[in-house]
Amino acid sequence: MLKVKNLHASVDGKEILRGIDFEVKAGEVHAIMGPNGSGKSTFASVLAGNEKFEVTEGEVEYNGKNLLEMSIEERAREGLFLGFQYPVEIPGVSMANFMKLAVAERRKAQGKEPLSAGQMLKYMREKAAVVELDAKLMNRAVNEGFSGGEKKKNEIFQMAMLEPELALLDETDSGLDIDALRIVATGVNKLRSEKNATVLITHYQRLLDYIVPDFVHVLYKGRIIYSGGKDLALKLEKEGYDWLINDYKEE
Amino acid sequence: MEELNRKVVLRDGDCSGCGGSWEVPAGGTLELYQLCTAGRHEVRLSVGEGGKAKVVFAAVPESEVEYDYEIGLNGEGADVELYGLIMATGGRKARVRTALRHNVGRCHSDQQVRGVASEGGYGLFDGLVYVAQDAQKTEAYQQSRNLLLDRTGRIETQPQLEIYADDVKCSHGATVGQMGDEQIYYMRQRGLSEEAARRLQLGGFVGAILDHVEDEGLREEFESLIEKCTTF
Repeated sequence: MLKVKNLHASVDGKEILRGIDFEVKAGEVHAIMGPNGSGKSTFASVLAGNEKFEVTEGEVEYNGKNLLEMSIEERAREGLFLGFQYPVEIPGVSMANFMKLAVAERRKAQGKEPLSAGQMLKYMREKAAVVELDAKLMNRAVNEGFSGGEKKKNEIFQMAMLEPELALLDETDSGLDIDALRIVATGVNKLRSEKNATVLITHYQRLLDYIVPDFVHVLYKGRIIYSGGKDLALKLEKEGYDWLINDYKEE
Repeated sequence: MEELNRKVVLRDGDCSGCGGSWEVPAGGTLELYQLCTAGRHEVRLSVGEGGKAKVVFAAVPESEVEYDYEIGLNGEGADVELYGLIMATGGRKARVRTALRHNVGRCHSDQQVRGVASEGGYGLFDGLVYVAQDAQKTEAYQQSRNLLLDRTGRIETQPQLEIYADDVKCSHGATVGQMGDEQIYYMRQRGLSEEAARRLQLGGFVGAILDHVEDEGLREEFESLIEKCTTF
């Protein structure tokens, strides 16, 4: 589904990603961990097409296409979803209107018929229930006045609405209390299938108690320096990153 | 004789380059909607005891338009709501001056004016709230919010409060912001084109004013005026 080869990217001339190799197949859940400032969020942003970052080297193939040549919205319509670490507020734009347009674009790309107004309402209510999000929030402006927990649930709600093939969840667990974390994780687990894949970007092992990954990777100074199975997260939680970082020689 | 409850719509042709003056009698109401696209227009309102006036305007010019509102709250308990849009795109110029004069006590006024400018367009909002010395227990609020769609649009906003009474509740605020890149990015990440994202955001900004036009046919008239006299 996703093949990343030797990806380099920089912001304002400063290199943040320094040769990432990474592969995701349908049905898999990957976790990317690593200390602060190692490039985790940058990696997700670059895959989503954030124009703040410049890709200087490398290739990314997504479902056989050159991802780096696709616009932000093309990537999204083709099923790449980024759950934001800090979802922005969009005053004046109602959730319902926003979702109507977003779902229409996604369905068009999937070759599905557009939903009628009635079907859309029902669809929104169903998906809001998956993450226990109050359906009344659909009448409010996007994320405006939402609590921290509601914002994160809203990301997973949107993910449910858009049926992504590849979901990148950037620190979706940060700032959540245990209840909200459980709800978000349950939502993600319900959306798992053989056809889609999830990449969790996280600081903490905590999320991985609820969403069990197939692979865990450690990103450090812009490279994946170590990959392992789900047990790696437990070891990192117990022993920290030092044993890995000390092994890792800078060239 | 003034009618007790009136609704006035000022369009091009109804009052080309003029305006008019209306009196809201005690306990009466006036709704005034203005959507002229050229010329200078002077509107004079006097609101009597317990009277209510609601003004919704769109200063969205074909090339240049100027509105001048002089509104007197002249009877206790008078209430004035004023909602306006100033949209100056593609080199157009729109100027709006409002003066709300609280001449007696216990009156209420609320002004919400939103401006949009782009491509060398120029929008001016000059808004005065005057509270006379004897106009105690006045409540007067004014908000000017503005959105620049690019680096060449210009908005000038001059909120002014002149308060001579001491027992009043008044506030004003003015902001000039730009279409948020972060918001556009967020919407594009959900599959909207950049243009659709910009339109949606602008629609929300403008819609907050148009929501005060309750009559559906009239609201459509405002919307088609904006469609006709703006370029993005």
